[in-house]
Amino acid sequence: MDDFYTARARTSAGASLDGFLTAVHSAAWPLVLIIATIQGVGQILTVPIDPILAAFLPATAALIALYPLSRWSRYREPAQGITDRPAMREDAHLDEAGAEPPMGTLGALAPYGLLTVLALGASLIEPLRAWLNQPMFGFAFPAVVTGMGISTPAAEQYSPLHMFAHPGATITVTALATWSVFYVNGYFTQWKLRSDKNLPGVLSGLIGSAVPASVPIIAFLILASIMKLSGQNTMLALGIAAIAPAYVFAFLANGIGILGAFITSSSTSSQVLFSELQVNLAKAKGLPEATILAAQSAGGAIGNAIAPANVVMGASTTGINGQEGAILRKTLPWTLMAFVLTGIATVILALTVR
Amino acid sequence: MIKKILQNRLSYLSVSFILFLASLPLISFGTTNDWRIVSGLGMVALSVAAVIPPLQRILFPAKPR
Repeated sequence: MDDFYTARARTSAGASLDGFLTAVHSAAWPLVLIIATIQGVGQILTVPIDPILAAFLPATAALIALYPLSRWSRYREPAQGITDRPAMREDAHLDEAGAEPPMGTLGALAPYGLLTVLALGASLIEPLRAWLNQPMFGFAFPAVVTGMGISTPAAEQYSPLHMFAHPGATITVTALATWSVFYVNGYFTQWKLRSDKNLPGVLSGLIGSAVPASVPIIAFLILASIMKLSGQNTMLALGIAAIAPAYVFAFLANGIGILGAFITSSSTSSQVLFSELQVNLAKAKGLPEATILAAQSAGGAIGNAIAPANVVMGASTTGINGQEGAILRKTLPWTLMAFVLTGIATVILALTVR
Repeated sequence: MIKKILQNRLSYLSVSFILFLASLPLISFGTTNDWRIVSGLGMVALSVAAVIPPLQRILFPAKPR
């Protein structure tokens, strides 16, 4: 690592970037480890209670933990030796330009508290959960048989949406309640006056952020359904199963997730595209499906670090356009290391669970 | 008109989004009731929705920054 920094330091841009990274590395490790432990152990503890809350609750706990951590002498004062990068300048955060928020810290945190209460209530209170789970909606589709005999039975409601039990319902209720309270208290008007900016309406803001995010997800879901129902996933799974020994596949399973995230620049899209294939492969090789799916999920998250669209977006946000190659050179070794470690963990888990 | 829509990211993605949403009930009703025209319309809507984003990139490539 020292040789790398020495070589990089020969250029002024490299010296600046490396000084920044070295300072961040040494300062951030304890914080990263504590937050990672809260998230990791939190997930292990929460999953048996409700998998839907397994990411949300530990993330909330980690967010709360940031406050006492910020009081720790190590983080109380600004870190020394960090050169200001373009992304750290005031003008890089146009949304925060100096204006005093119209609500207090508690008011700003209240929606997250409400979301937590609603999500926990809808998941843990069994009668409420059962009641919310009743209404559902889905389109009818006839039976389909492919030329190679892959058949899908007819469905009155294909993959029905439980609209009130879905996590989206909780978020919608929270958003509506928050909007109502903020509107009644005049927060939107006050913020507009204080920030001196022409803010978009809530509806146009919603369309502006929801539509661009929804189109690729819908397209990937339809593509994944076509791959599943046409038998492509089964064919691919049988092909891979024929040439890869069981534990070699277990080791490589997270690599498929990484590849999916690299191709689509989205962990979610990677899961949508390859989860079915991974389950089919796990069945074909007699491996525990949950372990292989966990490897796919981990791979999707790891692959995000080298996904081209994310790298370009990160470079653009931090004002270092054109440094995408340097970013990839930094992230690739870590991605490969994470891939190998996840592969080893998958093999150990597969051997243990079997 | 089409050029104008394709030059605005939110406009062409909104058209794609609406066509995706419209295609699913059309294909469902068309195939379950054997209404060929309706299911055909659904497939056209689905195909056009899927083609719009890549077509926009080909016709109006992003200018290098």
